[in-house]
Amino acid sequence: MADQYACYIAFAPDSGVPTPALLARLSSLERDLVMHLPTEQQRRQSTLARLAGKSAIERPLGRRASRSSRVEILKAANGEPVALVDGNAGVASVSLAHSSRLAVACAWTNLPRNGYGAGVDLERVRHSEVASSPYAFSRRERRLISAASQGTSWIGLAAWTAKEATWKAMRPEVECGPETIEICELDLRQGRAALRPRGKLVARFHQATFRARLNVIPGPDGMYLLTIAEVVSRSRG
Amino acid sequence: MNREVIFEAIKSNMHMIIPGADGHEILETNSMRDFGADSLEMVEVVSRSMKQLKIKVPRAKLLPVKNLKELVDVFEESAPKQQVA
Repeated sequence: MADQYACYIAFAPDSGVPTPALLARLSSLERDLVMHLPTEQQRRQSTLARLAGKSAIERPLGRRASRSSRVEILKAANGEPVALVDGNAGVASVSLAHSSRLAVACAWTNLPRNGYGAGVDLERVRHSEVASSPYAFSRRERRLISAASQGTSWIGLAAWTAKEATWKAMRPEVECGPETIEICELDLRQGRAALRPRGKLVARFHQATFRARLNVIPGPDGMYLLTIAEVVSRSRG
Repeated sequence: MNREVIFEAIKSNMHMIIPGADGHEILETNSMRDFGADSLEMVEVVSRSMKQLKIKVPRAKLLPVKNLKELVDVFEESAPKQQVA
């Protein structure tokens, strides 16, 4: 899968390792962040997402797993993950996602690709009414989803991951929500989604290239929908 | 439509959709994240509550909402006003 992208992807499935053993693989700052989360499930998922993030960051840096303590994933004031490599921010960037018992991360080094941003989102396949949600999707998007042949529950989840991964890729420069990005093409069989910014973001991302790839992957407790979105914008540099 | 009706609808949908909220007391000062909700679950709670209460809220108004009190406020503003005899 990594060859299709300009970022590096890593997964961390929940294989039942006790939470304290997972937490022991984080730095003390990371543990502090995780332990402030209100539920055990959030603490576990956040830990797994950070472990996936460390693996994803180590790949472009050529680091071995045994040195993973040198990579830390902290949190910016706006909630975005911040990667520190040997204590330095700005070397690499990372996007994290988790759902149920699977976490995923994509990472990229910053220096060679100024203007590049990636985002990842993941949802375990389950019954969902999101396809018909007027909050999640515009009328035009709902028409597109209902016309798809893959079943509204699956395609609705896929569409949601496409939107969320894309707005993660557009951050941290902009505040994004469901109405700030529009899906104009969606094909789960081909694994392809086309998205474009809306409203105030149109001018800002005028020269940007948006790309989103949808994947259906197996996880520890069923199938998952995964989207990796990439945005290359001249204005970001 | 009063705030209690709106809040009850939101709470009921949270109990149904967010596994971490099931069986827990929910206060207006809480956010859905306090119960471990992910972004999809939050969208589903909001969408189902809007449908149940028969209200439409502009999507841009929901973006800055930080907790349930603010969500109830936005819903209340958008709810049709009660007819006074």
